[in-house]
Amino acid sequence: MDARPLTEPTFFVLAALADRPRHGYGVIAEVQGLSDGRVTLRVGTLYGVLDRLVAEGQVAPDREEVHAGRLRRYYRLTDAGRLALEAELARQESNARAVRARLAVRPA
Amino acid sequence: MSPLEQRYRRLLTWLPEPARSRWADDMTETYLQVETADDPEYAEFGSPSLTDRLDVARLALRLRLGAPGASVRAVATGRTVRLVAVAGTVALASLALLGLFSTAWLHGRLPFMDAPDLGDRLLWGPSYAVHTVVSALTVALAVCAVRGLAATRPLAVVVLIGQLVPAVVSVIRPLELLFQLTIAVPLVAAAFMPPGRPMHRPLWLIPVPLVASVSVAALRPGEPPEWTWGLFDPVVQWALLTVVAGAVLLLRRRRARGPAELAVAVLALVTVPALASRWPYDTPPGYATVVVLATLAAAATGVATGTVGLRAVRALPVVPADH
Repeated sequence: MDARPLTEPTFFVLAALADRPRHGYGVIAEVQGLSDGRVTLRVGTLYGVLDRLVAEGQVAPDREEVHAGRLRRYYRLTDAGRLALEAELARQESNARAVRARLAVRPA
Repeated sequence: MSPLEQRYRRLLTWLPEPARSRWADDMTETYLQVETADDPEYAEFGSPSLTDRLDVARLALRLRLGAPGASVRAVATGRTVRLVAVAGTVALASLALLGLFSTAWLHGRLPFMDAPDLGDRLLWGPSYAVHTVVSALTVALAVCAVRGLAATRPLAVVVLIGQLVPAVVSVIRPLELLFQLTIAVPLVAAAFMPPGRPMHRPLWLIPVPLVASVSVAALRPGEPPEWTWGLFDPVVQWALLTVVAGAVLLLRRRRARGPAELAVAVLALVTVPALASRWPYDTPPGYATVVVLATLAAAATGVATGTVGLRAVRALPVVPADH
């Protein structure tokens, strides 16, 4: 597995799919909610990330539904995607712990 | 189909296959949901914003240069761009290193080497300082390009601006700008280069700095023979290197042709305008002969390798590279 840190859009797209499959607009809305409105994914950016994650086997198409006469495709996290997300979380938690411990030490 | 949907579908034709077939319907649906979430009437009169157009253009470019999920042909195009960027920036970095070396020598900054006594003729100022910084950044750029780092792209833009702006501002003869074109092509390739893994055993790059170091011979005491002057010209060296590389590629039996041949073709052809721009100058006959021969050889190499490379890349299927 790629050991490089995930980019912020990739991290949030994987996180948005962690609890259940979502369609494109659902992912964008979920990312905005997860990041408290700080990250707004552009549609092109989202599909660039999805294209790469599907190619890498971390995300897979789940199902298709017809909505207002148009096809809506849902995506789900695969086991490989869940592992990548957990590895990134562990990395971020480890960094946060180390820095928090350093902040706890008040300079003399 | 609403006017807004039609406009988004037209915009998404910018995406190359197979990504277009895979994503266009879904992307249209997502765009429509985003744009009409607050105002359903927008579907009747709205159109894609400039940001949406730039966003799709960026995705289309990434996919054409072999981003994950792109076609086999796009991956080959991306490899061509990377080869042009790597070989070109290593050539520029070799010249930049020589420039840094001679600057340090002239200013007595080199250990074990005495500086020549130039007196008042030794110049220094803001433009020289900028040139020195750009040279150092060019060396860093080549390292990043070989390593496939994401820093390559912003660094390439900085070096491109640092190289071109002072040259364009201070240009005396318009023909000199053709040399800047030769420099700009690998830098633009580096600016668009898809990030990737470090080059695996890039031994083929070794001749590039070696050939550039021939210029050091021009610094030795005594007048070198007139006909060798052309060989000290960096563009002539660059052209001759591409001729040798092209001959090696065409004569060797290789199963997978395409990106390497195309990259050599690009690097050979970009030297032609710079070489041709030297023809009108009143130069010694020996030098002029070398420049004319190098121009013809580079043009022939560009056409031959370009034809072979283009044919090979066009023969590749437009199917996802990962499948």
